[in-house]
Amino acid sequence: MQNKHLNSSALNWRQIKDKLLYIIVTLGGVSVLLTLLVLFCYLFYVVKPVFEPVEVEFKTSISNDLGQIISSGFYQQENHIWLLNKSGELKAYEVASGRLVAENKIEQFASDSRLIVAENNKNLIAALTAEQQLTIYQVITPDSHQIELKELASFEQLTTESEALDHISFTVNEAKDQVLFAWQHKNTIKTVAYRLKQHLLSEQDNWDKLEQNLVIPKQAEIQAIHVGSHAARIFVVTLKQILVFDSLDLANIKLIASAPLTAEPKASLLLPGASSLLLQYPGKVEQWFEANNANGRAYVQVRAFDSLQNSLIFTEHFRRVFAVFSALQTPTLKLFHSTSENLLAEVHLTDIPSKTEISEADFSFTGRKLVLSSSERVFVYQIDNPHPEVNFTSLWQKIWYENYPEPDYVWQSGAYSDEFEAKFSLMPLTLGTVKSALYGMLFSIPLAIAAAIYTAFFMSSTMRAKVKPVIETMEALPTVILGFMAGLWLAPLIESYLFSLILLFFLAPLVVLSAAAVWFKIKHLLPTKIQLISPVLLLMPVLMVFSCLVFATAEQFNVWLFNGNVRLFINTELGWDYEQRNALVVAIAMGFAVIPTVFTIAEDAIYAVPKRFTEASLALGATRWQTMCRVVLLIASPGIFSAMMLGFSRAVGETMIVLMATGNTPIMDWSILEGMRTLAANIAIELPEADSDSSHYRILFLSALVLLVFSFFFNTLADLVRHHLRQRYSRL
Amino acid sequence: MKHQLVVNKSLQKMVPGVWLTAAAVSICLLTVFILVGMISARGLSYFLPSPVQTIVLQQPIAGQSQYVGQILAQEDSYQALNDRESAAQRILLRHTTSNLARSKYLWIELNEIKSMRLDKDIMVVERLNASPLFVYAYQTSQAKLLAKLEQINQLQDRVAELRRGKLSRLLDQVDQAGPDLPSIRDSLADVEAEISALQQKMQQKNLLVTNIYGQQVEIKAQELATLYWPNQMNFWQKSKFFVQRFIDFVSDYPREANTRGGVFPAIFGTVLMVLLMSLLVAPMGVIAAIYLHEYAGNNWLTRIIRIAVINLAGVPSIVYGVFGLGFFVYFVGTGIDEIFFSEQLPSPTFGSPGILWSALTLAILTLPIVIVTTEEGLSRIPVSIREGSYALGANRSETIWRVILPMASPAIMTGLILAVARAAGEVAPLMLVGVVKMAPTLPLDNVFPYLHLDRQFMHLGFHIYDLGFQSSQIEAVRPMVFATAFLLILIVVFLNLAAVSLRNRLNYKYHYTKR
Repeated sequence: MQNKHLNSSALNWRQIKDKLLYIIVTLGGVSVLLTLLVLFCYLFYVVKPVFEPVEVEFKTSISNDLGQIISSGFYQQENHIWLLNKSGELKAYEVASGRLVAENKIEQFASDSRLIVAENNKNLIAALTAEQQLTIYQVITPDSHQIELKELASFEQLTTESEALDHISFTVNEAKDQVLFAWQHKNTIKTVAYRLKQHLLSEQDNWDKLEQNLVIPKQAEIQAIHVGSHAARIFVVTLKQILVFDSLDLANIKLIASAPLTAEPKASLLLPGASSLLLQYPGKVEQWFEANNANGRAYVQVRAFDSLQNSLIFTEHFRRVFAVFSALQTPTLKLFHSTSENLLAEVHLTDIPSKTEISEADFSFTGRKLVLSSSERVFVYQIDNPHPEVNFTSLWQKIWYENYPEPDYVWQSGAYSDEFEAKFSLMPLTLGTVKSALYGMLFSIPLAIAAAIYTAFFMSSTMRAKVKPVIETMEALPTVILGFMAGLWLAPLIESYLFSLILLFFLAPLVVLSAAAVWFKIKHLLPTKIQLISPVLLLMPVLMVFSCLVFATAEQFNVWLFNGNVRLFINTELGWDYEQRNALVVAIAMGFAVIPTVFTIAEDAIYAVPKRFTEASLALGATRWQTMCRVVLLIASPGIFSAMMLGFSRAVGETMIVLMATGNTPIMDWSILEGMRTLAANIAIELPEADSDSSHYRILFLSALVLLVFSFFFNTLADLVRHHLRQRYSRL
Repeated sequence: MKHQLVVNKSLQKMVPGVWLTAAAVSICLLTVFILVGMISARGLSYFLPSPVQTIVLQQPIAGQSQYVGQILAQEDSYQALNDRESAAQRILLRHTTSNLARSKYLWIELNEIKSMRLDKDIMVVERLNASPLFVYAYQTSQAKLLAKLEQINQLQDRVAELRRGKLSRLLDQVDQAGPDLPSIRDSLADVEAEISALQQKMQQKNLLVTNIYGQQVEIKAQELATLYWPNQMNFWQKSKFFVQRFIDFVSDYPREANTRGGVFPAIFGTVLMVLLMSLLVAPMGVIAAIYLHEYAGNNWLTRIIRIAVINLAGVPSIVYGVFGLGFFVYFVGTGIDEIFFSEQLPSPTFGSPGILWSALTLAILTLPIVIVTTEEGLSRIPVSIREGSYALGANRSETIWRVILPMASPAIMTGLILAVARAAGEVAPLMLVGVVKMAPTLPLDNVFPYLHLDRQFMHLGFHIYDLGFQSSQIEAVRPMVFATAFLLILIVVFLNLAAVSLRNRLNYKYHYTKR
């Protein structure tokens, strides 16, 4: 009885163990699938925010007793907002509660003073009295309950003119040691620049004053004057044309470009960046910027956007984002990214009453908040817009960037300054990837498949058992070693022996065939044992000696044909660019990385062709070569095709070889004598430096996802073909 | 027999296609041999003593008409490119400046050299933290110098031993208990006194040498690594030097921004990372293979899992790096930091690239290799063995655990070795998830918790990339890159051959059982 009980518990324990192992093993098996899924999903999860639509959310509205607002700004992690009116009164509110937290005003504010907001920084305000006494203030917020107007500089007299200054505009540079004013005075533009001179001994700031009159065409009706950021440009918009002045040298401001306008603009404003101007027309906004073309610098219209009727236009502070707002019918906000020509969002702001007169609108510095001020209420919105510069167009199509002569595919991710605009076109990288893979395949496919044909069909089995491991060893060679050999040894070698290499390429088949012919002539004279030697072994010394011969005579050929310098010949006579680490070097190195992959699979496919086919063919009188070409290759062709696809997939994802054997310049060029940058190499170069969650980071993940999908497609296809083939073989 | 006859007959007549395809095989084999042979030859030559040339120039360069140094490279000169007629060559010479501070590199046109000779008396002094010197002995014999070198090396070893042993233990105690404990303070002072006494002893042994300009210069004993006379070595001495240099190369730390010294941390990092990876990948791979071969039915799920395995094998390695950085480092690592290491935030512990994440990333990368090889091994085990086990009353789990797994263990080992070989040579993903060019500390040391999974590490493959493509004096480091590449090839090829022989033994074994 007890014994039986024991037995059954032991049996139970055994069954439990059996069940347990079953569960563990099944989980383990399924986890492989999960790994692949997680890989896909995580990459997709990182990439997704780039393509998500922009969301605009109403935060709060605050009642405004300051009247017309001329400037506003966010502070304290954008949780607080300050507003400034034209009599120099300043009030700060908490956004969440709408509670007044601080107020201040300009002391000694003369009632006839005029306040001007700096073009590039809404925190900087100039107060100009009727006597042209000038003071520049900065709005500073030491903490949430304090707001001050700090006096930055004050000047005795801006100008001697007594009348009001038309279209006055000014900019303070980032270091706050240069101030540039420009305004209209009759038929001229007057400019006044202040430059800070530090005196070591005196505490007192000492400013240099530089004045200049800029002559403009006589009957020009000035619509606006803009002083560009860093005080590098002055733009004058008249009803007929745009005039661009170079003010890099403050002492010598000169006209550098002018462009006629077809219609009269209603308003204009500067876009963040070096030279972009937005011109507003009824229902349309145009972007203009400097572009270098054949005739030198020109100011051109680059693109146009569908705007709203009778709208207010305003821009972000760093990114090239601008918005138009109109309360004419339903209050509507349209958000654009200028460079990518992208309408980010069009939303009806239902919390703003219709026909509200919005006089001032501004983004926060990060672009995450938006304030719209009327003289009664101030409306605050939250904008979720982390990646305005990325969309399908900017990734895959030509984009006209500032200072470029024409639209182009450009990859240039580094940020050197705030003004630099990152350029994320994946086209040059994709082209580089395809180029390197394609040239690599051109080199490796013929070699690998020919070698597979011989090894599988003509080679004796003892020889085959020795050859296959050698080629498998080749597969095991780390690509970093192939890349290093290609970059440091092959590239200089090819540079000096380019011609010999081409010669070798064309002459090698001839040499092989003549060696074979000679061999058949003389082999009767040799002992039988030597007669049976494999052509592979026979050809190795022949090819070796031949290539040594070609390289040894290269110098004479070079001197004779190209005056001793092939590279110079290519550059001057043929007009091609030559880079030392070029696609040819990559093709050869990549070829050797891909050959083992293609060889192994193609060889397997040919070897697995059922013997009865070859036997039948031979029995019908076909030679072995005919059998090979007309029977075996035909049957094995799906396998060879799948070998080629796997090789291509491997070449596309290869990183180290391309990284080390090319110059890694992202260019759009198919030339085999120039380099390229591939998606994979680009990730290896740039991802360690990319900030996580930035657009750059997400685009690098996108390129990884592209590589993943690509390899997934080719691998699955190749596997399906092979699976199909295996089934067909087993049926035959 | 008959088959053989047919083959021979086809070779009786010359068929162009056959010969061309044979040539393709020849080319493939040739390139493998040339590549491996060249890296071996150039890598091994790094360990040989290179002769020191005394070069007299026709025209002085930089006010000096005689140079003493080692020739590092020879190539077509730019003169030839401009001249177009002459096939001039130039050499790169490493020589020492008159103040013995650093090595300098100088390109010299061959046609500007008046004479070149090997001076037997010239001595190479290798220093610990500076470049080698080419000098003459000053009023002393070689035997005496070598005896002195031995004494100095002994003193250096004792100092190093004290530093590594007693001093570091005491410093750890200071870290924990604070420096105020009198007992610790006293013993710290004792050790420091002992070290400074040794150093004083060493100072008395400073070497006096003559530089090539005939001036006497003193070389500090503390800096001295070794000295030798390359121009008068015989074959025996050269081979001894070769072996010594090889041992130094694999056991020393790099010096002078990785351009001299050894690659020990890189070897150590590679081995440790690969071991960690094996621990992770072996169970996963074996379980998945057992599932696929022993449990899975012939249904759509199995088919999908098989496709997943093939796809995992085909995913570009850089994609694994991207995934590792995003998922492991930033997602999982940051999560771990927030839970367990929140007191150290914002400086990350596991939220930055490290050896654990590298091992995990490479474990996923090599998972398909282990699965495929193990499954192949499982399929070679005859069904009769399983049936025998069932017949004796064992159930499935017992059969697998007691019969199948032990029999498949060579296949599992093969898979693991292939995975290790792949991981040892993989660089691209590691660049993103944990490799650095110069790690200040090893990931394994005598400080609790001994194994520092969050540390970054050095790797042989990355070392090659970094040396060959990131250093400013590429000609100077080239021999070292070849030596490192040779070492890596040696490891990878050895591992692969081991895997192949294991697999063959497995084949043989079951061939035998089947009969």
